[in-house]
Amino acid sequence: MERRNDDELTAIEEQTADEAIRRLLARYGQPTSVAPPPDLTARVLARLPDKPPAAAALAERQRRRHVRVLVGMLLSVLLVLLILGSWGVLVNSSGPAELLGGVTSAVGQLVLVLVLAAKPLVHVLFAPGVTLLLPGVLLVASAVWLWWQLVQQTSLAQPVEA
Amino acid sequence: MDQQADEARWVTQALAGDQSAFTRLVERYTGVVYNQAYRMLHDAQEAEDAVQEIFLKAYTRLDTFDASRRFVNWLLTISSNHCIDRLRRRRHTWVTLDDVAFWLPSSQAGPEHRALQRERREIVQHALQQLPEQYRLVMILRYWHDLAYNEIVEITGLTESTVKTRLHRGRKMLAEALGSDGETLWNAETMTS
Repeated sequence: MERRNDDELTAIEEQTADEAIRRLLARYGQPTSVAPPPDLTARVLARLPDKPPAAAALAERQRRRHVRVLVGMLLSVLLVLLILGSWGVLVNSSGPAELLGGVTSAVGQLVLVLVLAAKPLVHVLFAPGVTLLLPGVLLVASAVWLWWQLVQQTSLAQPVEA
Repeated sequence: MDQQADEARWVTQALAGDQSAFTRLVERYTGVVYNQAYRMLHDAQEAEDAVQEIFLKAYTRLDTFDASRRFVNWLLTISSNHCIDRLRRRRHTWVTLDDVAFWLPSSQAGPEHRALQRERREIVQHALQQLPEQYRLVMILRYWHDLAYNEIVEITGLTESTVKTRLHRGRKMLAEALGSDGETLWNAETMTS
């Protein structure tokens, strides 16, 4: 059989190369099998859901969908508050309510309440202190996360081998 | 009854809600999956986490298993994809916890002992890590799991020609990664055989 390029070997060359790498590996004591920790099977089994596979898959899909919906709703609410708050700060507070039936209507009053509630949030966002506050919050959150990861990685219940 | 028929039956039983049937599959293949993950990821802790996630994925996707295939090959497909995903995510990790938590007591042996063990057992493992993940994968499947080309094709979803090309380049890269010693041996072997 003729080869078409440098990376395509004939059957004989393939076999030769295969045997050669096996001999090379053998000189380094490979391939060997790595023994898994004795409790790994038990840990795998402990993580499996109690439900049958189909039900577990369905539950997992639903959980992911719920998370996506929740995150979407949260972001939407924040966006709406930001828009209403900005309108209230930059234009006027009753503007959005006027568009929805006026401040005397129930919907208008609800929107007005939202605008008034969102205005302090927008003020906070534009306040000069936030530029200092944000890195501080991020630093504290990172430290807490790091501490939690370290605690999880260090098994305090088991004695440390010498 | 042969192994493949046994496993197909266990899968059917597991799908019907018999947890003990899936337990048998986990017991049988934890070692295989762990070895695959360890060779790919070169980190015992990460390999343990990966094994748990791989079996969890296998469990929730059990209905996609085709009984005409070997269960281990199907499992290695999930394992291979999972390990490659982990390696890709690892590229975005700037620093590992082990890098920053050097002061913590380790449950492993001391550094001198570890170094000696590594030197003795893991020269090839270190060399293997220098291969790009796609080449590493086919090398592990071929030489550590001792799979035939058609099985590697089935697991990776590549064509046979691509598998052969990757193995060819992988062999060369591994010999080079083993340093002058490995390269010399490789050249001598391939020239004289």
